[in-house]
Amino acid sequence: MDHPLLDSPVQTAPVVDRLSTAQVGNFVCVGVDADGQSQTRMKSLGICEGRTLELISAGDPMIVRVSGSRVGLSRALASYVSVSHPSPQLARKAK
Amino acid sequence: MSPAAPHSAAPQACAPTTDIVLLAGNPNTGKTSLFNALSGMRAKTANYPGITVDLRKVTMPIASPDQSQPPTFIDLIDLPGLYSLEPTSPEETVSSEALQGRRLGTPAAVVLVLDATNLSRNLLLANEVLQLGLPTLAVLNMIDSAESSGIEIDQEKLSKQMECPVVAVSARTGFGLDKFHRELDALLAKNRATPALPIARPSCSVGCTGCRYAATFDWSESVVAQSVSGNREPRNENYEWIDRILTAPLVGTLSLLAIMLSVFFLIFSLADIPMSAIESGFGWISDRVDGIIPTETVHKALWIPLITAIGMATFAMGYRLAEIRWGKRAIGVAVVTSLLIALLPLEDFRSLILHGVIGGIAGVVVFLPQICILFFFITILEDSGYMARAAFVMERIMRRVGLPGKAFVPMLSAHACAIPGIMATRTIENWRDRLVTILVLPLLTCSARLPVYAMISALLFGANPLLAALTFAGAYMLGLGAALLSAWCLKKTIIAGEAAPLVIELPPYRMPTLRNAFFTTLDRASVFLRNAGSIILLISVILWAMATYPKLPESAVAQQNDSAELDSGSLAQQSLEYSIAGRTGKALEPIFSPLGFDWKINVGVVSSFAAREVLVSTLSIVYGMGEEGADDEAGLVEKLRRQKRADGSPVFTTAVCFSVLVFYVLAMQCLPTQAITKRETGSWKWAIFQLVYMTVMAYVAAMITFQSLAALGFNA
Repeated sequence: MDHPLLDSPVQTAPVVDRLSTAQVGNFVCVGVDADGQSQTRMKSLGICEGRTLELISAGDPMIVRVSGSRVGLSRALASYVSVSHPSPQLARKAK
Repeated sequence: MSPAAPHSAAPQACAPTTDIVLLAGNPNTGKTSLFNALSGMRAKTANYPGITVDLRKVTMPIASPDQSQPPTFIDLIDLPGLYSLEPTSPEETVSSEALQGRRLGTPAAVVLVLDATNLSRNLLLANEVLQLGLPTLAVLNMIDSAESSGIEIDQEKLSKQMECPVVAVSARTGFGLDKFHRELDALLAKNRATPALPIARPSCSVGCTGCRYAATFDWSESVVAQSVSGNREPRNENYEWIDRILTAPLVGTLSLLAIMLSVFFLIFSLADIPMSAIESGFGWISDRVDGIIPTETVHKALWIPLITAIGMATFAMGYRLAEIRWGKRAIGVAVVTSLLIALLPLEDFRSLILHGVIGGIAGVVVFLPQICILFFFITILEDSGYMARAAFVMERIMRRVGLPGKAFVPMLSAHACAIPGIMATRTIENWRDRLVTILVLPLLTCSARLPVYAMISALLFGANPLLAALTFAGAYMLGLGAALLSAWCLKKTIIAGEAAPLVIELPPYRMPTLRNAFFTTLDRASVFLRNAGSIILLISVILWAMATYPKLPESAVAQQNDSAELDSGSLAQQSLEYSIAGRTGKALEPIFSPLGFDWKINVGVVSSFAAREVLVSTLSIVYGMGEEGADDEAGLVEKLRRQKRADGSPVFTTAVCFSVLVFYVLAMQCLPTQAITKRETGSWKWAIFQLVYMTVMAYVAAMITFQSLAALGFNA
């Protein structure tokens, strides 16, 4: 599941990552491609394109803050969530 | 189900006579607290055809706008919480379909409960509900917490943007409830005058490309941006710190254990006094009734109609409690049984009332305080927001044995009763996960086992609440451990595969209200008492009959009376052995003796095949009848402790107690659960598999327990 932007050399472009491998910090959700009810439940809880996510505690399961509520999410599901850093500055810090 | 459009105003077959108003909202918005605040003691658990999920409703008066006419009445129905109209569980399906007018008829209005502290997420459901075009009243609940954390909501702007009236309340303090009633009255009056046409609201279900949720979230963020000011996303640092501890892998698991253990400890230390009060209460009733029943035969013309009438009244009560309709068969059973009872010889009648009816009910009702305390604390934990953390912590362990994290919620329900637990497994979309969860759920300690656990812990450590609590907690852990182990074995053998992953909301920590816990406890207690007054009463009477008939032949009685060295207790003992129940128990002796059970316990095992808690009333009846003339005031536990074997050693030794306990932790012993397993898995195959594996495991584990404890000298 390689994303073309993953190896992008351009620092100013948003870095796209999987939520499962991300470290604690703020992200913007770019896409969710789980299937069935997991997808529906994640989206109705706010893990959805365009939302700001904050990874509060990494691990399995992890805790994500989204739309003012906290959501416990297993790493297996987090691997379906692509996120980007809101700004290159934050991206560098997280690396 | 017909795929009818939501607003086809086709008359519903089961159209209610009163208008219905639906109370809907996200989970954790304090919806049920609001319902409790509005209904108080008047709430009823409603049965709607075709709906297995329990819905609570209350009938409320609606004032007419000019106060000139008498109020009309509506039924306010508390729907299960849902995140979106696209359901992911059976409860959400019921709510979603009810809102779309497919389950309970077209609702007169919808009361939409929103968490004022978290509007942006809540507005997702609001958007979907508003698009249904029903008259809607939005309630901003927990307005007090929102204000204290610096969230300022402009209700007028919000109302304008949502195109529906908005009222701010606090279900906890009762703030705003008057205004809520006025707004609801006005909404319904307006709707009655000019039935609302669906208002065209900005919708993204058609026409927009991309993710429907993303579009709706954009809408809700724009609403929040315009109507909410101040601290929009307050964060409480203290709570984050607590959360870090409670969700940590090791510390979190230990906290879960500590919390559960304290709850069980409280159950024991607090339930002691009300339990002895109930026991002596039943002792008193038993004495009074004994005094009322005449000793001389009353004239038949008076006696038979009188007793038949009392019998019929009891059936009427039982049917009402069990919600059985008065069909032809039900009337037949009631009439024939009442007549039979009226025709009983006076001595048998006295025994039926004292041992069968009062003894049987007393043996179960005495555990009411413990059940109330358990549900009280579980509701407190649930309302505080801790239960979601418990599920989060459990995910780590459960995933290893091949259970999904989602199974924790059914597993939690199964601690009340396996039936709602098994029904809740529909949230688990993956068939393999669901099947494994259904198969292991009945191993978790349901409330029907509580009377058995309580009886055994009282027998073992009556004087020591700490040890009793540890026994209790140990039984819970054994059930949980057996469930996890079985799941792991199933994963490795016949149902291979991995579990589906977890996604769960961790709601903010909130101070739970005693009021809410009280109402939930009341609800559970009434369900328990309803059972005790109907099904358990029926089983008790049948059991009494099995333990009484056939009677010893006259010659044997005469022989007994002649031999002076035998007391009356031994006569009662012999009649019991002669009865159907006694013979069954005796016949099973070779099978159950390696477990340390005597034939009277065997009677209990057989009679509780359909429902575990019957063991307690059975032992109460079987041992009560075996010692006629003894002090009847003594409670069941005292009675059991006094039981001696033929050689004079006590029946309930430490080894026997633990063996019975282990057997009841692990054995299936519940016919209704079997029926539900069959329904949910679609075949008797899995129900039978469940019965066989659980019974074999229970038998083997109880045998190992008894034999090893006996070898260590605990069987004396």
